[in-house]
Amino acid sequence: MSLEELIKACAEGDDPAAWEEFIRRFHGLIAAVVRRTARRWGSDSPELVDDMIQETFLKIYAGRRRLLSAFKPQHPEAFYGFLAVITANLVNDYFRTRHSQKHGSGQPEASIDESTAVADAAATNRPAEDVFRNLQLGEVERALSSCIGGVERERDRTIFWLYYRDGVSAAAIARLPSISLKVKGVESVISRLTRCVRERLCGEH
Amino acid sequence: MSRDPQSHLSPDELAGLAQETESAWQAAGADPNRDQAKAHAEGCGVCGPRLRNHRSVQARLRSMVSPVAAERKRDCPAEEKWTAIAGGVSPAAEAKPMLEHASRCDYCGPLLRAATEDLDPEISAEEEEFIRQLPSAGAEWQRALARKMTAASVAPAGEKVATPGSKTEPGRLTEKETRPSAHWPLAGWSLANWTLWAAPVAAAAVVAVGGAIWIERSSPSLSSTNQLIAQAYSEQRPIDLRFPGAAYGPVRQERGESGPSRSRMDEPPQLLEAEAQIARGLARHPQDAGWLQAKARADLFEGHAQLAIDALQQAAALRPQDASLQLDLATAYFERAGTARDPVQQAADYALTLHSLNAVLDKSPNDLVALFNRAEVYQQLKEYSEAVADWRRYLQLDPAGEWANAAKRLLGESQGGAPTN
Repeated sequence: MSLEELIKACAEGDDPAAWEEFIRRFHGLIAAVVRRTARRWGSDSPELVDDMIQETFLKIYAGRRRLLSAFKPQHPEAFYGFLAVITANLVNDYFRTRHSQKHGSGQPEASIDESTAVADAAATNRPAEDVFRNLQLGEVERALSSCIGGVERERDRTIFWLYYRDGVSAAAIARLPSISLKVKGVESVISRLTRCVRERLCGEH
Repeated sequence: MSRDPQSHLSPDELAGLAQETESAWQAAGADPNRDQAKAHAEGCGVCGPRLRNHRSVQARLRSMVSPVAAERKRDCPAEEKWTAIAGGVSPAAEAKPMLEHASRCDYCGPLLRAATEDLDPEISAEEEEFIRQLPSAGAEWQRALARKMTAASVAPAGEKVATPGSKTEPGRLTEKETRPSAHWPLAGWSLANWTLWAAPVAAAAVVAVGGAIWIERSSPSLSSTNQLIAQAYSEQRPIDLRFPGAAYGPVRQERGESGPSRSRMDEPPQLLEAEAQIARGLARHPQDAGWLQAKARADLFEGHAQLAIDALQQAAALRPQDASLQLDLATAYFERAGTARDPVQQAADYALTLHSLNAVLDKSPNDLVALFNRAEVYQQLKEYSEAVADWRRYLQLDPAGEWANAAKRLLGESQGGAPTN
């Protein structure tokens, strides 16, 4: 059964076989997204992950007509992104709610706030490094400005900084809306700009 | 056609070698021309310094990843937006200015990166193994869920479904927890509104395939990061005590030269690269004991003993039986003692150092790193008889090699009762 046929079957009917196939086909993706997102909140036990996987399928089933009927996938990956976003939002919402409930009741919390405590402490204790980093960013930005041009100037600049400043991978950048490049295209932009910036910073041009 | 060994590096060769990571450099070997170019650079007085210069700049570029969370600014978009962007389902017109913002913002950039990592369609081998062991991965569980869902026809979301072989039993969660409005605030989030834009946009999402060729993936491995730190340690050993896994290297400076006043430009490129990887690793796994330990080692390298202690204590709470964390904690206490102005605090830190090392050696009496470090600590505390005993024991277990040579020298100093340098 093609992806389009499967989505249509699930959107329009209550066929257990179609839904079993839907669960089988997307279990891995949903499980991975649940686990990664839950892990970021410091809680990724198999029991919790299983609960959330089930909850995600239930939500999709409950909203199947609205969610699936309108979907016209041109690429399988587009539907994967669609499901991944639903899943991540569900998990994040769950933890935000739990976090706020615990916060309100004064119970001890184990949340992203705690996990970033070390980083926050580092932030307050490293002003000299912040100054250094800002100087470095400015230096690279000047070199970068001399390396980019044309109608895609802003897009290329965004790609460069998403990669080097934000740490987003080339493959992930290629999946972002408005970038309109395949992975190799993103890699090519990064390679070209990196080489140019490096030569500028080495004083070779 | 083989490369002329005498010819200087071409711009392409220089770019290729400069852009490779140290680990890739070591791992590669299939391209003889590349290896010859590398060999030429190592022996050439022109190309060698030029390549090192380029590699140093490349390491600086890699180290620009925002190491810590910044403060949210007024123009930062709502955090939930980054999930839709990362999933490729936001309209391009909306995404474009947001991506430009993220590329300049140390608050939103890490959020976008985290979202892209969470939604990455590629599943690692470790994740596959985890998923494979879930009860929900079983065909019976999936079949039962499908049947229950469709039998109920309009099964209320949030209601647990009994499935065979599942550890998830109906009623295991409280009624309050499973009620959609409390447990899953999806009602407020509104699926209906979401689909108005998500479906058509997702259908138009551009998804690229193919693999990275030379650009390193941004998901670093912990082992490669620890290798980088170990290489940096061996190249410019910053402290007297040893890290597990690090080869011998002479201590790079007199005490006091390290620390916050030391310029990052002086740090070995491996450390800068490791710090970039640690930032990415912690962004993805903020409570992973291994990444916290790697961060602590980098902090120690830079003289931030207190930050290292904070990270190691957090890691030790997650992995209380991990001897390597106790070893690193001992080193961090020892380094903090070295800079303490309060004699009471200093004495307390030395006591903590020895307590941690003793705990490791009680469990593993032949742990070479712990034994070496305890001997070093005793020596610096001028407790020479204890130091001599530990050095002798160490040399029985590790009689040859560079660390053994260092131990022999330090044993001689302890036997003399005072340093000879």
